[in-house]
Amino acid sequence: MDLFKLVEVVVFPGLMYLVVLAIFFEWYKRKLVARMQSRLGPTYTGFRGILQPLADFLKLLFKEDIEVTTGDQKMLTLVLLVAPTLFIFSLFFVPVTGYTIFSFEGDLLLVLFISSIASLLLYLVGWTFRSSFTKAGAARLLLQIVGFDIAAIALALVPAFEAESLCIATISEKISSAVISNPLLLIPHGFAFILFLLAQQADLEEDPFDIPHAETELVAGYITEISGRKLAFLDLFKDLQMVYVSFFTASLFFGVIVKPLSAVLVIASSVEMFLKALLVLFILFTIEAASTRIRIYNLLDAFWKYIIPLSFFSLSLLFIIKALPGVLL
Amino acid sequence: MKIIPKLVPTVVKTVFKKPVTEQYPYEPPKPSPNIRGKIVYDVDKCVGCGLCAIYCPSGAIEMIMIKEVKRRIPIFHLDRCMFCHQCVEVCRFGAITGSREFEIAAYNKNELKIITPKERVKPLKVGEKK
Ligand code: SF4
Ligand code: SF4
Repeated sequence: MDLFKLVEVVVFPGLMYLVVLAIFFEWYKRKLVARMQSRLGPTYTGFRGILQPLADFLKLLFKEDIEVTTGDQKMLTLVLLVAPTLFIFSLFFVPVTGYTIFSFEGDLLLVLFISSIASLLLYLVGWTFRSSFTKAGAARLLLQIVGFDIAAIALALVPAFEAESLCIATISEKISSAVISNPLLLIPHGFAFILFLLAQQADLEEDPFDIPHAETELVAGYITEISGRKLAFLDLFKDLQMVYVSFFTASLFFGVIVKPLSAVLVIASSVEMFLKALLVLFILFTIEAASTRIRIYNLLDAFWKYIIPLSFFSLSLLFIIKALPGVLL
Repeated sequence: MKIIPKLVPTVVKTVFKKPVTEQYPYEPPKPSPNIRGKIVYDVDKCVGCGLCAIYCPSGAIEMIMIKEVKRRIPIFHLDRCMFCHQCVEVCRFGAITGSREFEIAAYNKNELKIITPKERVKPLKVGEKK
């Protein structure tokens, strides 16, 4: 591996850039949801409280590491080290700055697989403790994963088939021209986008799908027994998940318009992708601020009865539209 | 569930509105017009009937005798007062009025007494119409 690649992986657009983005998105979330609820949000640390998530992270890092004796601490540490890494690794395949560090034909499936594994690791976090709150939270999380993951995978295939590629970089390049050349494709595209956002909302465990850590019932669900440094890493994990979800959705459904051919254009396309990610997050946070938690039965109903069939329906609609010219001519 | 789509426009509009939060210690307070705050006592209107002390539910009013002028006046222990303004209602001479001041915390409870200085207390003129 040459030096340039190493700098890319560690600094930009790799590890450091992603962590900075994660912290920024956490601030964006707190501020935006606060403003949606007519509150102020963070104001104290830095300009308009922009350093508050960083301050929280550092504070948690310096706290005492309380080890609950009924939990498997080695397992927990391993999970919390591996889980953020998984998202950073899968973001190497996503065009965060308009181009990807690594890319091969079929990396879409790899990224989808890795994100499912990461969600399953959260389940392990809850399962390592012998506490009823974490157990219930973990069980709910597993049920939730079974609900949204199938829909998410089926819906991620919609742009893949539109751009006729399984490589995220190629999809993000071709998607806009593919949709413009055949405007009928906008129907399954928009349909899939909305459903995909719902599935990602369930992945992020935000309202109305914050069932695994329902605060009023389960204290904090599978996170209940975690504190100090471990909680810091868990928060980082959730923030990185936010980064992953926003950029993944943006690159699949919006694509990259500015081609990152020179250094200036790389900055231009990073700004473009950044704004698109903010837009995706804006929609997700709007849903969060406007809704209340639903019950696990409602969630399973919604996903198994409506969203999963609808996602397969939009996939088949896409095939029909794609095949139409051949049939008509 | 059905209310979520209805709420979305409100939620988006709220982003561009000013937040309702008041950062109180850093900003001047905006108490409600109906707030019942610290009571204000006017010794010149008082006749020393003691009704306020009888009616005060928390025993915050103590009547004391001022021998020099041979009359009684109330002193108010604000540390016991619960700002019900019963005394304001009951005083038919308008000697007690309510104010909107509410920042009256103190380190020492003697600071919370409303004691009228003896020089201010004038003898009552009996038969004079108020
Ligand atoms: S303040 Fe009013 S009620 Fe109280 S003693 Fe004086 S006149 Fe009577
Ligand atoms: S406001 Fe109420 S509690 Fe306070 S002195 Fe008057 S009657 Fe007593």
